[in-house]
Amino acid sequence: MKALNDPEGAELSHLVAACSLPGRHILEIGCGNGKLTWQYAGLPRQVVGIDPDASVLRQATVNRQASSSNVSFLRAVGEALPFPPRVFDVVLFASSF
Amino acid sequence: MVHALHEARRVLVPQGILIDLRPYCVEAPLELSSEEGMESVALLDTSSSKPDDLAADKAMESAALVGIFKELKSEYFYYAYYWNSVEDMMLDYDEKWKDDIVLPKKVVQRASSLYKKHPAHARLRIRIRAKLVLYPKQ
Repeated sequence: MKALNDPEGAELSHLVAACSLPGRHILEIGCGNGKLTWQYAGLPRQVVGIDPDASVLRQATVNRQASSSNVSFLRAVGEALPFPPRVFDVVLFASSF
Repeated sequence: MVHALHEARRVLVPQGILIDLRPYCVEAPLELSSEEGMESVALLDTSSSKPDDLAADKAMESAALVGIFKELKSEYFYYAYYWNSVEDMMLDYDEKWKDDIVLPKKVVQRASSLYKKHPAHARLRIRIRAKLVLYPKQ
């Protein structure tokens, strides 16, 4: 990585301040390489990150930390979510519109 | 885009929340950080992403109009990318950002010139304004 991306943690701090994440079930649409996902992954009960790009999902998985069994990644698009109704407390579009 | 919002609503529990978090700017400050403080290099044009921003805004307005989400609160903030050299910045730019940000040659020359004054401790940074909006499910 050539750039040091948001070392002040501004995205994370604003996200956490705006919405309570502990104990929640989170769906992140357009998670990309999981850069933001892994920053907040320790807070919710469950995190599912989806992205249509298999290569960035592989990067997200490579970045997996040992204590992160609550996090999973799937290849999917926001227009056809492979989940039953009413299962997530928060849906996060992070730079994915 | 609007269809994705309907899908998001479907998978949200009652009282669930949709969060829209994305870069939202037309100009991004490029600065040089050194032991002497922060020095402006230039304001970079990021307006090529404006149509996408407006389309996303329109989708959320449509969602509010049909009553599936309603804006609760919004805020703006800045986050930053840092590089230890002009060369690193250019590598990132060529790889990821050249479609989104205009980086004129004269700006690169100015960045190089300023950087040479503080090579040991200087870093370049670009600050991106972001928008964060909460939309409770209706």
